[in-house]
Amino acid sequence: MSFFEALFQNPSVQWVVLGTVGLAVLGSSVGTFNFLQKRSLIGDAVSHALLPGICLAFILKGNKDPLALLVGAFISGWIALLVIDLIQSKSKTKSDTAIAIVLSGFFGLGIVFLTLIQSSENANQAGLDAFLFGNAASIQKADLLNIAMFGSFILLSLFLGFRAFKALCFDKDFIAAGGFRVKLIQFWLSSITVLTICLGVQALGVVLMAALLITPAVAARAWTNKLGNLIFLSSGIGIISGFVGAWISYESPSMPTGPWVVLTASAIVLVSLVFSPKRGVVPRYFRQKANQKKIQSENILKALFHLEENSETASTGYSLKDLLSMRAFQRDQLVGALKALVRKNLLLEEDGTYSLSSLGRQKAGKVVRNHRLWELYLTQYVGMEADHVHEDAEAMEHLITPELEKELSKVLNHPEYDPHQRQIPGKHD
Amino acid sequence: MKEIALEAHNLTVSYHRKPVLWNIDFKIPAGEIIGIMGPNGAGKSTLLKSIMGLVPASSGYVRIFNQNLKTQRKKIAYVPQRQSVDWDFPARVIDVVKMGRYTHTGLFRRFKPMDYEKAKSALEKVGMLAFAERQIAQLSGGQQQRVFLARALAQEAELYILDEPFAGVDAATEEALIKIIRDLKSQGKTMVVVHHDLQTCREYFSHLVFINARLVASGPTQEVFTEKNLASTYGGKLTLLSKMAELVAEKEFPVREKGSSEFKKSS
Repeated sequence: MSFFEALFQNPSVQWVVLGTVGLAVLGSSVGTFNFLQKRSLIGDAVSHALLPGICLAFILKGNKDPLALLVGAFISGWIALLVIDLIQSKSKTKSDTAIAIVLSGFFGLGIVFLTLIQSSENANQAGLDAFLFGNAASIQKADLLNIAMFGSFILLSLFLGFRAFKALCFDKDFIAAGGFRVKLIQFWLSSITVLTICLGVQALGVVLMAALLITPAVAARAWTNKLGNLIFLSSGIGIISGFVGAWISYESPSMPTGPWVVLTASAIVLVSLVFSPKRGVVPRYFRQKANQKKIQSENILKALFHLEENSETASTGYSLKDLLSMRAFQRDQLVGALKALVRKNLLLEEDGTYSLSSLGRQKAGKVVRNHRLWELYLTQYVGMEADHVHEDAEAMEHLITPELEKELSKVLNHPEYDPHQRQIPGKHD
Repeated sequence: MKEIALEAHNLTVSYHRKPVLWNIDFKIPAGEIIGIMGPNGAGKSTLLKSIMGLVPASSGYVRIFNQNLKTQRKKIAYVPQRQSVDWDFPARVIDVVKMGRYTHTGLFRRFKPMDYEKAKSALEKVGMLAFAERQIAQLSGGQQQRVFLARALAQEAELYILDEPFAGVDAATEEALIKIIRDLKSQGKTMVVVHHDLQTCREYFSHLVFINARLVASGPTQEVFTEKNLASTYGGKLTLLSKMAELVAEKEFPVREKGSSEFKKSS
């Protein structure tokens, strides 16, 4: 049976997929607020700290009643949060250190309990170690009910508390100054965070549940600047990851679900950080490449403009050699760039010589105008010497927008000459 | 005497156990523009935070319009330093300004059309209406400050408390901000502004409060802007006072003993 057939026919496959996807939605939406609060590591600490609570609940109860384990986990996770806050406020320990201490301390305690339980030959203990790495395939109807019940509570909390959580993450002091009970809001957010982790830890394991809280949010942040969209996108990424994880582990049963969920989410982060239009590395590379190209073609136009300016008689065109004498262009790059400029009708070519088309002259004039206006501004307003301003203007001339140019011209009282007594070309609109 | 907008009575405040303000005691008249002046580390921001109830006082109290702060929250708007938040936060300008309406709407009730209108008109007053839908990450420092002021304006308070609104903004923004502050004053609002530029302070403020760990002087500008007050505000810290503050923190002693306060809690 293929995965998709099973998805419609086999209830236990449905439970696993629904459970994983549900947990992914909860983790990624709650996690978005933790991420925005710069408390990413808290999730990690809390999920590790659930272990002793789970083990104690098991010891007291004698079996793996999901609700009992959930309560144990929740209490344990909350104690961990309190201990982190206590360590920070009562000693001079910094937050990262406090988190690290609590994470490893609680986890160590949990492992000791786990070992005790395993050596006690309790017939019910089998599978308790699923909390370490998770076992999505073990999701039963009762687990699903828990996820659905507490999950709706968590989502409802997020919906109702959206404004409060947003304000808490952005400017805690401001809402405290407005008389709102910041501690209560923080308590509420922390509680649903702990609850989310508790719900997911058996299916996905401690490490992976923590990752699910942060990874989708990071990926989503690369694509959007709106908080609402961020939460939806982050949940979407969570859903895809949950689904892919469940699929892979169905197709090859030796593959664990949790790690594949997180690997999928991590792959999405990687793609996001590399390709997202505003924050991605690759788009930035192309932007820089385009800037370089713009600078080069403007420099060529400018060189021809200067050649025209300097020559007494109207020339038909200038050779490569003439251009190279004006500026240290790289020869082969120059040839390519010239061809491109001819194609754009900015240059005219005749027998291997080049001259500005009227469009090209207009464009070159603008660049030269920007250059000379900026030089004048630097000498008159910034107080730089006339022989120090050229380099700066060389770079700025490509960057000055038409609005800035207008402003410059106005501030300088529409000047005719630059500090070197060269004429500033008029505005060719 | 005019109505008192803000009174600090014998206020002592510690920050991370270390006392930074000792026995601050002043009254601020309503309907004026008041400058709080002092060198770096004088405790100006801590004073504001203490007034807003963000930092607990070790002793003393603050009264707003002769009432307890708790009953006056709607009447007092706080503009924190703009560096106190992460401007890369995913929000639009209008979202931030809408937070100013929270004291009226609460955190859960839906916004009424009136609340949107008030947020927009606050943005208009600071000349940022065209930026309403812009992401806050794209704003310049001066624009950030205008947005913060707009958020306070949206609250429609009586008393405005601004922490270094002119720090790191361009001249045009400073001019625009002081114009808004004067407009508010002419509507009868009280404006309390932490400021550190001695050049402009006489021009901006009708009243001054000089502090440097303790109160140096407070009163109308002509009376307290004296060489003597300037010298004791800016002429270095009181070495013994700061030594004692460090000792309080180091030895973990309380800065006030229990039951020593002459003030009985009643309001």
